[in-house]
Amino acid sequence: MRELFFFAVGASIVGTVFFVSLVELIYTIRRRKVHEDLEARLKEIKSSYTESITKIVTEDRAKLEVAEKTAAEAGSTIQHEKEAITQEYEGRIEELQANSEKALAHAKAKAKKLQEQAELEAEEYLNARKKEVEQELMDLVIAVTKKVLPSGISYEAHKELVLKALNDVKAEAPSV
Amino acid sequence: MTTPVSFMSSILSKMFVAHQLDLLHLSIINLLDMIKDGEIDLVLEQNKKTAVQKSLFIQKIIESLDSPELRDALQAELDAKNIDFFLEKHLRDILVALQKEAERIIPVHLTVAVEFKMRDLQDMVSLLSKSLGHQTVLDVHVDRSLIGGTVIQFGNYISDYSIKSRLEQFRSRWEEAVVEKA
Repeated sequence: MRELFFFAVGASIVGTVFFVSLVELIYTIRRRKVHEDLEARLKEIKSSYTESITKIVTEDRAKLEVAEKTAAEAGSTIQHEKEAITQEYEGRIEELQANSEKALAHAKAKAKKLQEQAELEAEEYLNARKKEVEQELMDLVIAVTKKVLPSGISYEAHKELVLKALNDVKAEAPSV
Repeated sequence: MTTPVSFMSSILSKMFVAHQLDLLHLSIINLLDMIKDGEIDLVLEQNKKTAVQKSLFIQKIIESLDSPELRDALQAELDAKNIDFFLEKHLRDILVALQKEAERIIPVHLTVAVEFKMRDLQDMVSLLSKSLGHQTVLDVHVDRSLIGGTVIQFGNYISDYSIKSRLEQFRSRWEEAVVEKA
């Protein structure tokens, strides 16, 4: 019995070891398979990723080229526009400067004309006032003389004036 | 008997102002009218009239005359009892001659600033007559606005010697010289 027992125990151990080894083997095989699947999958993913990256890079490069081209075109266009705008505004600035100088010259001429006119008017005004003053002065002198003189002339002086006039008639009068 | 020339001279030598000359003309015309009507000779040739009556008649005629100079001259003849002087034929000839002489006198219009005495007017007439070489009488008007001097006008001649005019000339020259150029 004992032997059987031993046998059974031994058989159990061996069976266990065998089973464990088998299980180990199965799992090893499966692990390897899984590992290979994983590697394949990884390779596939890597490949896919690489392709994807490459594609993206290619696309990006293409886009970059397009962008560079667009940028170059845009730069060229901007340069042209810049030149055109610069030219246009330089023309306008020159025109404005010319207009400004013309306007300035016109304004100066007008100002000079106004000044001359104002001076002329002022002179005319002064002359008119001067004339009025001179006239009023003379009127005053005449009026005062007319007022004062009659009382200042004696009868004899009146007579002398008339006699002198009558004496002068001879030279001026027509023959009678 | 007074000669016609001395008679006329005694009258005309007293003519100084135009008013005297006007009165002389008027008196001569009146006398000539009377002579024309024969009024004077009608009395003077009446033998029955006495010399006194004739003198009184002539005296009335003389007194009716407006010209004092003619009156004085005729009165002098009457005072000298020269009745024949007043006979129409003689008197008419003298009056006509006097009228002609009076018409030759130049009336000069004199505008003055003051009223002059007759003595001074006589001086003026003498001077003017001497200057013009012709007898003149003055027609004097007083215009005090002249201030002094005179305006003389006869015929087409006019000359302004007044102080007013001189002042106006002075004013004009002043305006031309000073005001116009200003």
